Amino acid sequence: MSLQAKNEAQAQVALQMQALRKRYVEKLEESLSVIEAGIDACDTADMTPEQRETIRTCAHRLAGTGTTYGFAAISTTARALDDVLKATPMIPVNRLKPLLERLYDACSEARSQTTDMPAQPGFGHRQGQGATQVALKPRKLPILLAADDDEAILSLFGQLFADQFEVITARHAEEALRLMRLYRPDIVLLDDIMPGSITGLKFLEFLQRSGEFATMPILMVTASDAEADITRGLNAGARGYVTKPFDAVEVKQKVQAILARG
Amino acid sequence: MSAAPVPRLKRIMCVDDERDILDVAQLCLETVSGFEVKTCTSGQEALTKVEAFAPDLILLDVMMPGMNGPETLADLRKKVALNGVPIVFMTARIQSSEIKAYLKLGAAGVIPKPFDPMALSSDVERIWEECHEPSGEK
Repeated sequence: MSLQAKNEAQAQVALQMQALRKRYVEKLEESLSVIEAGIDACDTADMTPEQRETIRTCAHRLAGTGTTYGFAAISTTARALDDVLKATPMIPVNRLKPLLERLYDACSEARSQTTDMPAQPGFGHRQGQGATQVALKPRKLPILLAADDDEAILSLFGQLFADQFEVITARHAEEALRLMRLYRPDIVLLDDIMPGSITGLKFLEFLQRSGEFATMPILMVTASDAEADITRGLNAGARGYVTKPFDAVEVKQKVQAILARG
Repeated sequence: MSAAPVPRLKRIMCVDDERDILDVAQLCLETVSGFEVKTCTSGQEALTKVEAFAPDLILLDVMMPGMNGPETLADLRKKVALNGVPIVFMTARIQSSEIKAYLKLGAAGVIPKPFDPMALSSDVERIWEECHEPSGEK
């Protein structure tokens, strides 16, 4: 192969690498979920051997791939975690936490470099994140995602569930999807009529088709009160349907009932 | 007497359970150097496909679920058709004692992970040439 042909081939590789890199970063969401669950387990000192192995597998994979995709910090931090998890005797769970946090930050930073998603503040120094979501500290409470374009409704949900959940908010379906992938909320309250290209009901049907959040409970809270809409929502997998104007106590009871059913 | 010319490397089999690795390796080896590449996501798959593909060289991950790299290498070495085909480990475990152990198992070389995509082809070609040097034949 001539030098010119080789240069052209390398340029072609660089171009195609961008697509692979994008896919790699999208898949980092799965790793972030594993890591975040690991941090939670460190907080509660309750990490099963299976979870430890899942984290080790995840760290090993990231260690072997991060630099190849241009994210050296992922490889470095994942290698440190992988090494510790392989050590014998077994390292106590509380010593894993800073390593998990560093890997989380490296993955989050990689994502922010490649997408328009903002980097999440590090676990060690999480701050408020502006208007679209409340500050996320290391998780202790379950997460409730409220998707609604009405600020008053979002504010009400924030107050209503503040004692039981970390409440995060989205103003349209696309943002809801991003936050669902990022934080894996324990329950989602979903409005139907929101700005953007997709309504809540269409979004629900999209989720049902994709199967990505098959087990994530979703409660519709919407002014779309036609019988056909209610049937459509429940057929698309909503665990409950509340019409606006709603009784706050009723919404709270429904959320508790849905979570109790599991 | 002059040394025999190094045969041309054409066909490479890549074995790794990680799709992200296989995709980058295939992209680089095919596009940069024009190799024909076959990817396998497990040792078992490699064993079933290796004879039909008849690779000149095999890149083999060390840590894989099911059959790991050394186990796969041992079974590949039992196949007469693969006699003399260099098998190169790709691994993140590259302490000198570990590399010695890989070579003792019969590996022709080691490519450290994570690897530089742009350098992968030249690393593979270097190992291929080392395998065919009169004094370095493995």
